[in-house]
Amino acid sequence: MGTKNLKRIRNVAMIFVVAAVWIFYFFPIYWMVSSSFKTRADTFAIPPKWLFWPTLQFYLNSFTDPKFLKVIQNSVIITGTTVILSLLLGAWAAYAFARFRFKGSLTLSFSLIIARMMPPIVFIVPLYLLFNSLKLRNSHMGLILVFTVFNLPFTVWMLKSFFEEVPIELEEAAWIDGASRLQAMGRVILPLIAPGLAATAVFAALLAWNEFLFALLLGGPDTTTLPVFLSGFLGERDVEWGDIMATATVAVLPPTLLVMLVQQNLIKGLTLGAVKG
Amino acid sequence: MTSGEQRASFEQGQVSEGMQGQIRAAGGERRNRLLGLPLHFILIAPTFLIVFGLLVYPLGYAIVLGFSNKILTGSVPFKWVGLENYIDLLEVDSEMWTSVGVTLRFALVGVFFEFIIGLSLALLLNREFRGRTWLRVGLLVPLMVPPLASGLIWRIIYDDEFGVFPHLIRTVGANPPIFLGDPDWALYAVVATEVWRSSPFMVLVLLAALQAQPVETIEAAEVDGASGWQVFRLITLPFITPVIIVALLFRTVDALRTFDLIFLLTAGGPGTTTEVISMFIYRWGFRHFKLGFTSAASILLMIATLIICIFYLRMLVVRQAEVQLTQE
Repeated sequence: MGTKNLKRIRNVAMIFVVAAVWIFYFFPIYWMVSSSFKTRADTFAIPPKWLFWPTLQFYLNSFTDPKFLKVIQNSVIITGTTVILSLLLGAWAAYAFARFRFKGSLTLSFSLIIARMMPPIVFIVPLYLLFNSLKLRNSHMGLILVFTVFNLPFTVWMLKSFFEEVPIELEEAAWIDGASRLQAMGRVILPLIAPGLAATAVFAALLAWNEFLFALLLGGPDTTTLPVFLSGFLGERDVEWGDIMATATVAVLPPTLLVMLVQQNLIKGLTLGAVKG
Repeated sequence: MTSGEQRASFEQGQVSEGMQGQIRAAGGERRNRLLGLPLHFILIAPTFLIVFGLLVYPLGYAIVLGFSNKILTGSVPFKWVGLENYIDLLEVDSEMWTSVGVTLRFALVGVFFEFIIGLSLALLLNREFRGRTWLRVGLLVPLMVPPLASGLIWRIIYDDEFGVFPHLIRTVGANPPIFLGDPDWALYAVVATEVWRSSPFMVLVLLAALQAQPVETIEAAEVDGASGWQVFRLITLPFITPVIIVALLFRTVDALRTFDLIFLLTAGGPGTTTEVISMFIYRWGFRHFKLGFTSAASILLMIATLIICIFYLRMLVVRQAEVQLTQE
């Protein structure tokens, strides 16, 4: 009887703990999404309104605004090209590090980790001057290059960990059949690590999609990405929170859905392949 | 590993080496070259070319600029100033030290709470209960919110007029501070948002480590009569320590680079009470346009980050050496 009661108390305590965790992590998300459906009057209501008539006004505003559509287009082009470029270059380098032992291979691969650890702000002044003199400021190309270089340490290490999981014998079999190393890599290895490639692509996309510092300082009116656009709202005289929260919801939604799809390799993605999930 | 297993794996190694010999004999040396160059060289060249162009070269440029008085626009003629920028930065009463203090408080308090919450929730999620999978997936959501958007969300939650958080405090009868405007509170309000967004990282990474732990060792200890706490302290904790170090390394360097969140929440204010080092560099570079001075500060930040990385990596190495010793 006593142990039964104890068990019941523990179960109830557990429910409270889990509920508290949900509220802590989800309330801010709920507040963002619900604020995007609140009219101006409801947002500024004191006390805050929990029940309200939802309005689609802000989403309609956004998606009929050519400026906003241009921003989405910028974000998609820049993110997409960055992902392709960093996956392509990253896969070559990762293959070299996984399959060849050469002089300086350790130093080079670890120098990439150090580059990942550096605060981006360290590079901003020289890059700003460099981009000014090369006329790369306010160009898609410029942002794509910078995002790619900050993505490469991640893609190289992540893909290296996937390449290392594939037994060399599989490749050797392809060589015997007359394939070159690159052919064997393309036809045998890459299809085998397809889930790993997908996860790497998603995390690379996340980095490019959310990047703010370089997009703000090296970009310009022609390259405004979603984060830069979002930050721009605050400079306006009348801050329209409905617009802000609708845009924020649009910015958060695609990466969240994508990451849900690659959960298997989530932990690797979060730690550069250092921890297996 | 028993000696029998060792011999078996040794023999396997022999076999595959023998096979590689055959393959090499079938024209394998040519396989490792392309356009007359070693293949691995060609494969890493593009990556390191753009890493050199966009990271190494700019860094060298920053070192050079750090010894000059370069400004972005204006009439002050360019000249070399030697170590003047560094002396100004490192002076006892320089603004940089205030900013270093803010950064350290932000990073230490934030990472400390992230670790405590992360470990507790990881241990919780490592148990069987209904809704466990949902909670694990749900934790991803705050992690996916870009720091910028999380800054915006928390601004409306903290708002002292219509914000929901001050309102809740008022309903229980207390008098809330102006969270983002009060010098005593602002930094901790910012830390709270960072803990909200980043603690799921700790939870998920530590949970992965816990789940990699072999069940047999725990069961054996329990059979031997070890208490839950003993199992945790003597078996689980040593097992997950390397992962803890990696997770702390990532979170610490990420805290040191924080920019977006603070840019949106407080822009470093009120005064300079939340001006972390990235905001400090941003302000001097892109508000006051003193690029020489800013470059010097960037170099100092780079050195500090390197020292922190080395500190953590050494911890990892020492830890691995200890494990090897205890195994022998």
